[in-house]
Amino acid sequence: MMSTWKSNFEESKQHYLDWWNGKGIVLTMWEHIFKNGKPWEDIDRPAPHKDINQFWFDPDWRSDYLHYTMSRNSFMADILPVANTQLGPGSLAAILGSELEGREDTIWIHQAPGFDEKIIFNEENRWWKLHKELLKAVKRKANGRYLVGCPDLVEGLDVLSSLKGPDNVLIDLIMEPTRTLEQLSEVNRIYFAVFDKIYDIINEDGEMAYCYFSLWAPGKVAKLQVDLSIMISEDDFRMFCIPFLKEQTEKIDYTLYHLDGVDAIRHLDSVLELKDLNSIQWTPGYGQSQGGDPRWYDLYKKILAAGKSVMINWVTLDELEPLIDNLGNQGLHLNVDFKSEKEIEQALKIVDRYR
Amino acid sequence: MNSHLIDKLFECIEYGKINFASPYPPNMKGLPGADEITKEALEAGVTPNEILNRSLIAAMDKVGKKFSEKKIFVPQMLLSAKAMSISMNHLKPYFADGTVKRKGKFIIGTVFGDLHDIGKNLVSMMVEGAGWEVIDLGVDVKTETFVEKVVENPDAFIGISALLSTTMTNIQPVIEAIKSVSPNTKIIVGGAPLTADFAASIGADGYGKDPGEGIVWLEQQFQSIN
Repeated sequence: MMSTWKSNFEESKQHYLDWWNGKGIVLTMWEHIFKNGKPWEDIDRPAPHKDINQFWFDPDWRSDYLHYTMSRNSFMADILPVANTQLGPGSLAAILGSELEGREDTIWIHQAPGFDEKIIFNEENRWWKLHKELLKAVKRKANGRYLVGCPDLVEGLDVLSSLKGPDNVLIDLIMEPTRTLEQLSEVNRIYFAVFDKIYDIINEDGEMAYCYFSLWAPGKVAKLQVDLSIMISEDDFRMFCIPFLKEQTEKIDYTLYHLDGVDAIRHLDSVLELKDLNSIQWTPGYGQSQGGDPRWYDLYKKILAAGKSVMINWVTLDELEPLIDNLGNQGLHLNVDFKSEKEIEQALKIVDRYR
Repeated sequence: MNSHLIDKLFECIEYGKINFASPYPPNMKGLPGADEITKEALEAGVTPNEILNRSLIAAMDKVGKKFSEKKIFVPQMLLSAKAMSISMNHLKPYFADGTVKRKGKFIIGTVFGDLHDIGKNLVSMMVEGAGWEVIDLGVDVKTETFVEKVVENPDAFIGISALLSTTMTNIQPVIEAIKSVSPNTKIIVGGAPLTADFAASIGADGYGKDPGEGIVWLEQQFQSIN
């Protein structure tokens, strides 16, 4: 049993459970802000990182740093006590042979050098070892006070793209469709193997959280995506993406699909046909009005009408009320871009009226 | 006869039939592709200029329009670009000896801090297909590299791309550095997170939301100096 720093965790868990089942409202934010007043515990700040590699890839330093920041984070409303252990957007590719490069603001994934079209999971891969070491180190430090998020593994075409480059993957859809389907099957098979091993490390009494997208569930949970989908036709999406997404939604207890960008909307109908998919998150993209804008109401209504919950991101305080008035109070996961705990209190006052 | 070859080559480029061995598109399987037909056309006396203008540029223009209208997607466009590129290889000696002239030079790269290349590659291929010489600097291109290439190629137009909201802000210092050494150099920017307003705010001369818009902008620049 966890002895978490989040005092209202049981209440938030119920909100999440309801939301996964198309009910109620989750009120949270993308990552964290610092809390007011004293930290949860007086944790020493680690010495500054020696270099960028230590910042991202040293399990001891990074777990110390995460422990320090988690001890100061606010977990008001439904903000989750989850340490962000991400090792790049799509770190399964690194486990399969790509290279990671840490930079100031993100981790880049470089194509696998000399990729020979074989998709092989080598338990001795150094990035896989790092995944395990980092997760175990954070879990030790957390010791039940917060959850360890599952790194952003990513799957399917996006992993192939990181392994051999998007141009090559896209051309292979036409020139080598059979081989591509075989590779995607193998990526999925390895995804589940890796995912299960990670789950074994990070779960708390069977419960699990994801490093991004503010996701918790009373079982296995994952965010699914095909960012490359904006470059392919609806027919290709159905052929090269849907079967593998379907397998994920069937094998993982709770799943959310990350629909990224206006050009991805053309695939929404086929995503909605995934019977076991619980929810869909909408990312409008830079240069577009963000998640709380009325122009997206019809999109959310369509998702809700299809029996899926929605996750809405970067909602502003003044958008909250009209958003709920228009969409109703069932099946909403609202990520507000909070700047202070005072704003969280203001948002709670609004949302509690609809609960 | 010659017209027939020009039409066949146009068709190969439009549908991405690279060479005889290529199985795509299925209805052209077992037929010669852009590689063989370009060779045949040159041997039959079709001028390199006719091949460039009536087959390659015309077909890539049609491909660009189909892409903008979402009638085709990136995989199909990449195959058209590959077919165009293999055909273009046969014309290189004529570019070198001045028989065929390109419209100008276009220097392109993804801004420093950003390692995305697919959008930049598409623009690069489409611009080459529109009759320009392309100098592709790759990804994560430092400001100094852009400046160096501008100094080497003072008449060139510049394209800078970024795919992240965190890296698009890196474009402005590159523009400022280029303009400081070559104030008349024209620069177009593009990439998923960019907008026309953002492009104007950082001092870019043009903005392309897709490769087609980039080519239209380049054509306007070409017309204004000729």
